[in-house]
Amino acid sequence: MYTTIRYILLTAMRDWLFAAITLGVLLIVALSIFLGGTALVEKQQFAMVLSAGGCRIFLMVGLMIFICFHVRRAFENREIEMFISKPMSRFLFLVCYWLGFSVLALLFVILLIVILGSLFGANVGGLAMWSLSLFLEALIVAAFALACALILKSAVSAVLTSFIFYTMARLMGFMLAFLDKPEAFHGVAPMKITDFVMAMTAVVIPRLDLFGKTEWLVYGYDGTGLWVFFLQAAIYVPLLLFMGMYDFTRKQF
Amino acid sequence: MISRASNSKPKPYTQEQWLLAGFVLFLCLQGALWFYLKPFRPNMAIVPPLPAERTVKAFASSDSQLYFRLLAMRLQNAGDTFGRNTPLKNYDYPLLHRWFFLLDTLDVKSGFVPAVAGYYFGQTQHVEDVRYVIDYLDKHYDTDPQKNWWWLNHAIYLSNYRLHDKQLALRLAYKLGTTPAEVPMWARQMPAFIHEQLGEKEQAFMIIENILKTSKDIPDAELNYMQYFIQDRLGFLDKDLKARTDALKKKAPANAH
Repeated sequence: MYTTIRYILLTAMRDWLFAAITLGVLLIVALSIFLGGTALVEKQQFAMVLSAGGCRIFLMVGLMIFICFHVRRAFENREIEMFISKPMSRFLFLVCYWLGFSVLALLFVILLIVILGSLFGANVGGLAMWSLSLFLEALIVAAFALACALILKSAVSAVLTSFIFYTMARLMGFMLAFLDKPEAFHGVAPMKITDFVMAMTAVVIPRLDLFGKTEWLVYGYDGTGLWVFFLQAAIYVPLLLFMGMYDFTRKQF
Repeated sequence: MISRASNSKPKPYTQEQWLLAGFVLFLCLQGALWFYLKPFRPNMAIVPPLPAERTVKAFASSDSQLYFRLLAMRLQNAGDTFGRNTPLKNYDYPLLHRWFFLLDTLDVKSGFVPAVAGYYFGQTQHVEDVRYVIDYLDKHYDTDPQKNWWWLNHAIYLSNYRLHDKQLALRLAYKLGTTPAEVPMWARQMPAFIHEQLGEKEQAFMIIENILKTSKDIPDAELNYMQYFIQDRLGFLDKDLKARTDALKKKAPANAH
């Protein structure tokens, strides 16, 4: 297990992932500080919210791209075959792979905690909850990207599928509101077919819109729905791992 | 003749010539399209159009605070982008008014929107537009009077000194004076100051007198100031004024109904 996790971290270093993510985060923070500095009042809040929001998206996109290309390359280089030739079940191998990506996500979340806490003096409780929910969100995203990379033959299609999934998960609250009260959205005629499709989609997409609210950093965590993050991650990560595993066990090498 | 005619047949075009002709043709088409699209310009309105309700709900559902900050920044910089510098008198204040309320739906706790509205957009050269700002500040106060009393105070300042609408200032001053929170003494005295400016010294005196009667633990400095206000500015020691104040006090219960 530790060997696989160490292997993931080494490949991340080999692909300059740590340097790229750190540099990207620093650039986003610098740009946010510049933009926040132009605000008439609440300069620090502006810089903090823009940094946190920007880094969140950057981190998730970075993880998706790295995981999809990493897994597809491992298939092409026959590294996967080398791993599964060892006395380790395929399921354990998959879990170890996911754990390796989770450690990567944890390191990046810690980087964000240090930056947001030290530079902007974010609300401590809010920062703790924001970071925790961001980490759990990263676990879900990592599991989805891993499952996509295992199932789909092309790294590009795996990345694009992951992007679509992430966007839909972030907009899921809006979709549910639309389903509940279509008349509230003036000008859009409710259609039974689209309603049905949206309702079915909503069932299988996680509620990432509830995670990582930047308002917690400014005003503190409101104390509601803490269990949602844990429950969502506890249900959705195994779901994705089982899905990926189902396909992985049927693969012939 | 036939053989000569067949000999003079033009040579078929080479592949390179076809490619060049195709390139020139599509270059001309691109030029024609440019000419057709020339009138279609980006929306350079001073105040950006209000986003649709659907758009706001969609983006806000993901991270409302981030979306609020992006829109707030857009509002602050409106009219001063793309190298433009627009005087405030040219802004569409009814549209700005709607922007203020839209941003309040995303984050009503932030002080950014009232600050931009009051300190920046309240300085318009077209003074009548200040009414939109005052209306917004007044309604923003209603969302949380204990926290937002400062913005109502600023609305009073704008009404009094920019709009010169003393009656509006007086109405807002009474509202500020009854704020259900710990506000500075001067905020509670605000109606008296406006009454004084209107020359209604008896009413001003009654406001101060009421504060003296109902407040506990008034600091010495405040007591000194109120004494100065009553004696030096209202001239309470003047016998006529005292008589008129007493008469007004007698009438007050009847007026209350």
